[in-house]
Amino acid sequence: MSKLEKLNNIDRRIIYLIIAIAVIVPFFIPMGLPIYVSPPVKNVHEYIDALPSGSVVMIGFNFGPSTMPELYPMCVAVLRHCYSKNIKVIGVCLHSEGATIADNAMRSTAEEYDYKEHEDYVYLGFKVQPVAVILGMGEDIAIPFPNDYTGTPLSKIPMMKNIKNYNDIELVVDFSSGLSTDWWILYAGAKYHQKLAVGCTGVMVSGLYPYLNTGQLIGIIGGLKGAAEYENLIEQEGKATLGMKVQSIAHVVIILIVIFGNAVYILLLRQKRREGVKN
Amino acid sequence: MTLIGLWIGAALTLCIYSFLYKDNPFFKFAEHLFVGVSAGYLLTITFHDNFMPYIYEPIKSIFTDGKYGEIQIIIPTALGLMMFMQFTHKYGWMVRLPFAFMMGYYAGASIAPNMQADIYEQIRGTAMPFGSLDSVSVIVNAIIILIGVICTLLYFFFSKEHKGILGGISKVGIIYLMIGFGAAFGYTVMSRISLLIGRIDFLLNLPLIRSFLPQ
Repeated sequence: MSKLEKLNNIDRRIIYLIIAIAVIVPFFIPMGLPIYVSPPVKNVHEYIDALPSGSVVMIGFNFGPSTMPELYPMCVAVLRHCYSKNIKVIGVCLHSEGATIADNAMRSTAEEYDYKEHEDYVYLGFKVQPVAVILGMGEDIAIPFPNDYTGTPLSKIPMMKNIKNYNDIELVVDFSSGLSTDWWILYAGAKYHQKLAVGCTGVMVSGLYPYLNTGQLIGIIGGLKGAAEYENLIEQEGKATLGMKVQSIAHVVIILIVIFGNAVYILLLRQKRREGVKN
Repeated sequence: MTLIGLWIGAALTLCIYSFLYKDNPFFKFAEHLFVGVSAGYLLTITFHDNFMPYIYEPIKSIFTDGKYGEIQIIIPTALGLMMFMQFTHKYGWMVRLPFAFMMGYYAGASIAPNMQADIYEQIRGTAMPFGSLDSVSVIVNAIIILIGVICTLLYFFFSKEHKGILGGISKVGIIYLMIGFGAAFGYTVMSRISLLIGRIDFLLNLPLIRSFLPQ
């Protein structure tokens, strides 16, 4: 076996090891890589920033622990932005695994801004049958959620006194790792003309751009990069900003591996052709 | 307790990543544990957050507090119970009733919003930029999108053989599709690396490991 053939059949575990090193080492190297803010993220920030004090934003926590590294930092960044603008926040969860994550995110961030539960924010909890829930909230939030996560009836929550349905909500921000974005676009956006923004995993971003182009979404916070951009906009560096610095190095290594793999493959093809001519 | 939880999380993370070397019992254990815990969690949260407050409590209140207005809950509850009849041969036919109800509901609820969000709005989004051609970049983008939509749609037109003009247009459609797949793949790589970063960050921030590492 020639050297090129050996390189062409390189053990995949060596590539995994190189990627692992490329991800671990940058954690210990201080770097000041710039983070450029893309228009879809800027749009979300500008929309929330322009909301008057006391406006209501609904946040959908529709992801589980498996996508937390991407989605949790952007949730926290958007919550911090809302809380810093004195915007009231309603949290909902349509993904069973997100129920406690949402509670933690809302509570821990609220403590930073001295936000009070039931006065400044409400977490409604998890509910099955997402389509019915989204449609139901278009008529009356109390239909799918008669009580909040703590079991308090909505009628007894001061913040919910003047909030009945989407007419009283300025924006819905859906943090999603799956289908929930489609449901919000279809049932809250198309049917009730609710303004929507999305925070999603990197895998989903390219599929959502058509909705951005048509104005069905006001903006998209895509993956860890989107989260880092939002942290940059609110001037609070968090896990996403640190993660993006590591990610930049990892991406360079992956690009080099792709170039290396293709170069070896092309050289091997040439070598085989030459050997074929000789024989 | 939190510390124990952190170390269990770390151990399970390493069990899962051990699959990258080769399939092994530690990976299988972590995988099965994950499936079991997820199913148990879903069952528990559905029971406590949905079954108890919206079925059990209202039905109980009919008998204890005389809240006869809650009697309507019996209809969806009966439909839900019929779903379990598929496990019996004799009464299996009863499952058709809740399924018919669900299909009717979802078809009715979905058709109009689907048409609105995915057909009308997308057509409007393709044509709309031609109404405000106020800069070179807008004109170029509008033309690129229009060509892409037409060529990609024609690529999926199979009633005529892809030869001649249709063949040429289809090839342009394939190029658009490949660019789309490339963008999606790039984002997927970013996404997967983000998850790896999340796990590495978690492992490096474990109290014992952190104390050994440079700050």
